[in-house]
Amino acid sequence: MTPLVEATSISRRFTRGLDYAERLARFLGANIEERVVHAVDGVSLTINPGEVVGLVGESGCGKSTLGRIMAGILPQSDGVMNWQGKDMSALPRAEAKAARLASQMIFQDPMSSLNPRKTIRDIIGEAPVAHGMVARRDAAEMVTALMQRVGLDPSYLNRYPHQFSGGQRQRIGIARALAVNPRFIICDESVSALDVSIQAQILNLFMELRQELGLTYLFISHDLGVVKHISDRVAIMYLGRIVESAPADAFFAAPNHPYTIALLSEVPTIKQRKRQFNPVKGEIPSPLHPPSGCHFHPRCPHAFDRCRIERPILREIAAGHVSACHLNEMPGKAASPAIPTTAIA
Amino acid sequence: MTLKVENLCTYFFTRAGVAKAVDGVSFEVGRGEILGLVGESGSGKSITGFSVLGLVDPPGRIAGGRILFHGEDLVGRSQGEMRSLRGKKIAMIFQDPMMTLNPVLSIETQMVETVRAHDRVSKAEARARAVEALGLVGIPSPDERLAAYPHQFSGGMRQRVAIAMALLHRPELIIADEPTTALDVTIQSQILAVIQGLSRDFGMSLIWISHDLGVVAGLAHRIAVMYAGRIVETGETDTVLDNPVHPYTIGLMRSVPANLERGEPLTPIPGMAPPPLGRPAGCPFRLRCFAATAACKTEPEETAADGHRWRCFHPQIARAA
Repeated sequence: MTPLVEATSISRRFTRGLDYAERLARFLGANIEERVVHAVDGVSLTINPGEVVGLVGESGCGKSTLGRIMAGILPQSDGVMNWQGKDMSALPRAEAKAARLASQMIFQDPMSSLNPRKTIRDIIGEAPVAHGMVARRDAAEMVTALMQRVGLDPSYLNRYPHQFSGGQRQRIGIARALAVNPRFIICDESVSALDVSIQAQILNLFMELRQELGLTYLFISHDLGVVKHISDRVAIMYLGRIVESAPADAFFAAPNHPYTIALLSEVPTIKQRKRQFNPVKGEIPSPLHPPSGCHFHPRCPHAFDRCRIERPILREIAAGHVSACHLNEMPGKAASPAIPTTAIA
Repeated sequence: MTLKVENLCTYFFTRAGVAKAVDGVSFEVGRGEILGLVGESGSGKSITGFSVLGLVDPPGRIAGGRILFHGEDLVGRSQGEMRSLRGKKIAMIFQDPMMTLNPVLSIETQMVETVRAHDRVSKAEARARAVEALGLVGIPSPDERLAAYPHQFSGGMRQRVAIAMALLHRPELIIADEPTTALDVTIQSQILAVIQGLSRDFGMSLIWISHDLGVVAGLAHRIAVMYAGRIVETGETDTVLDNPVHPYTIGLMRSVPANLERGEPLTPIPGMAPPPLGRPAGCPFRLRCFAATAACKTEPEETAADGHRWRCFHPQIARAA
């Protein structure tokens, strides 16, 4: 099977150049350098047609940047993005446009991703009309059908975004993404801002759409519970790198990387009452100055000398289950959860 | 009993009508006890916290009920009296620590000021207390960090500073309004560990306001679930979570993916919470409720059994959620 999207050794750096005063100071001998953030650092991720991949990480780990690169709305600094087996940067214009249209993104905050001065009819109908997928006179009909599909009352066709609640606005964002018949949907924290009862409605909608339209999802979230519910495969990011990736069942049954284990044991669930919180120490380091070797070593309870020097690569530890931890090369030393994580998340 | 709230009503008198943000809420918190106040946005959980501290601004005001702190009613106290209590006996921690911290003053200035607002002590002594409080919440090298400004701290560290400020006078009651909601999981866990230890070591009572049943389950001794300005169900944490009887509590638990096995479909609560000015008569949940009948058009009274209380005509007693 040809993967739908395939990222190979993708990196993305954000550089803040020096201003005049800083250049002058450096000329005079001050130790000032350009600040470079390695948002994504050599990441490979393959997404097969029809698959739901959950991308999990804490703030600043680069998960949104990776999502944007995979959606084709942000160029990578290094690496190759393939769309249906072909290098995206080498595609002829028409094919490249089709690939971009086929990848649509749904954002966390619908209020900042919907134009407040446009009606729902324009927000949803604009793109398909512009791309010649539907004639302008048929747009209203198409928008009505889409609104029904995502659970909005079509009589609200001429309303503005502020007249809707948070959950309804998220439905508008979904309808807008669906309007251009995408194959690949990138959800960037799309349910994080919603109340739980509304969040469940939107998650169910995502699953229905997947069944009906055969969609492929990259589901970016910090919430392991949501990701466990929706994903076929899970990838964990820490400070710009994927540290573990596995089919969801295997992942939650036998997490391997020490960071993953810490993350899983710290997700609060109602099954654990009046528990003893036993958090992993330290803070997430700044991506401006990432630690050497394994990025997690300053916080890792198992870290040893090699972790400080050498970056661990992703190695297969079971079928389809990869993890980047030096412990896996030392028989009998691999990290294992202090408490069974099957009950968690 | 550290705090006893009886039939608290906090209304907002707006031009469009009277918004009953808190509408007849009663609960109590004992010494060293942690009460989890759970609800979705607009349920009135934050306004309940603000009411206890006397922080409700016009057009809102406490329209009825009593707030008994060690048996003395706080409703109707003057601003001056409330001010001598706030920060001293009752403290608050907010979701956004920048609501507590002044961005243009160093942590030292702010903490010394807070100490000396209530206690007549020398600056050196106030500073020593600040260092001690920062140490308690796990800020590394507190002596040096005192000189820093809020923007020099990360989000998790700022929240620790805000907690340290709340602790300066060893309050008997802390009201925490979603203090970990904006934080990452590993950082949230660190803050929860700090709070739990402090409550245990100093016998501090805590009202933990949150939308996250998971956090509350791990922390609280008792839970109160709020919906549309009322407490719809309350009891011991284990009782409420193992045998929820109110259809809203059950719906809430079924909506959280983390509580289910993988692949089990979510059962969302249909519709959305009614706005404060457009609540249906009778039980405010009846339009979204799977068990609603004609009886629900009148308002359900509170039913109590072994410390487990609920407001519902159709409690789901036999079923396990």
